[in-house]
Amino acid sequence: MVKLEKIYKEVYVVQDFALHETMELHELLNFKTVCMTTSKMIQGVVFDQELKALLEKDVQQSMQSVNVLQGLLGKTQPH
Amino acid sequence: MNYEKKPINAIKKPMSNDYLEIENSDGMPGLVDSTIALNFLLTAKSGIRNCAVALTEIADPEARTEVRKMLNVAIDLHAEISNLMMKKGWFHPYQVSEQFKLDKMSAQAALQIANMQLFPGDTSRLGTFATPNY
Repeated sequence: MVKLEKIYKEVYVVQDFALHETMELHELLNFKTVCMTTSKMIQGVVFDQELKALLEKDVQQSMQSVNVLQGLLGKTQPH
Repeated sequence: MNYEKKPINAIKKPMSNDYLEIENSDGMPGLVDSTIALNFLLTAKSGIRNCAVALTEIADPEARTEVRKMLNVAIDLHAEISNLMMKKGWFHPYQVSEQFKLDKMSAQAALQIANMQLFPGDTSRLGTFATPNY
């Protein structure tokens, strides 16, 4: 049982992401970065305060996502 | 702010080239906000699709959980944006003819703006930034 757990850890936790997984996470990171920047900048342009609040909400959520994605990508070694 | 009831419809006459004249800016706030909101909505939609597509490519359990969380958050945000747009009268999912009318008008307004010489002259403002090596 212990051995199985060890194998599981080696296969699923310790191992690097496959290349295509890293690519997808990287693309998500880029998308989130652009969204976050755009939403922050455009807040200075909108008139409607509710829309501005929603844009700020998006910025906060994107910050969280970017941190998570960076953490995930930090697990892998660059090849 | 009481522009919400007449968003894009406020622009009836052809847009004047004199964009610095204050009376030509009638209806501008609604036009700007509805355009930005539409952009926001489309980006949220792309975000949902990107997350879903990424999810089909990822096997790692931890990464899957995180991307799935992102997908759910993105879906909720998309719902909030479309609700706001419906409330403001920028988005009519149940009245297609109204939506078409609105979209035609904003396309027309966008064409008129695209035709303007908004930024004539040199827009490099490097002198005003700390860029001694340029």
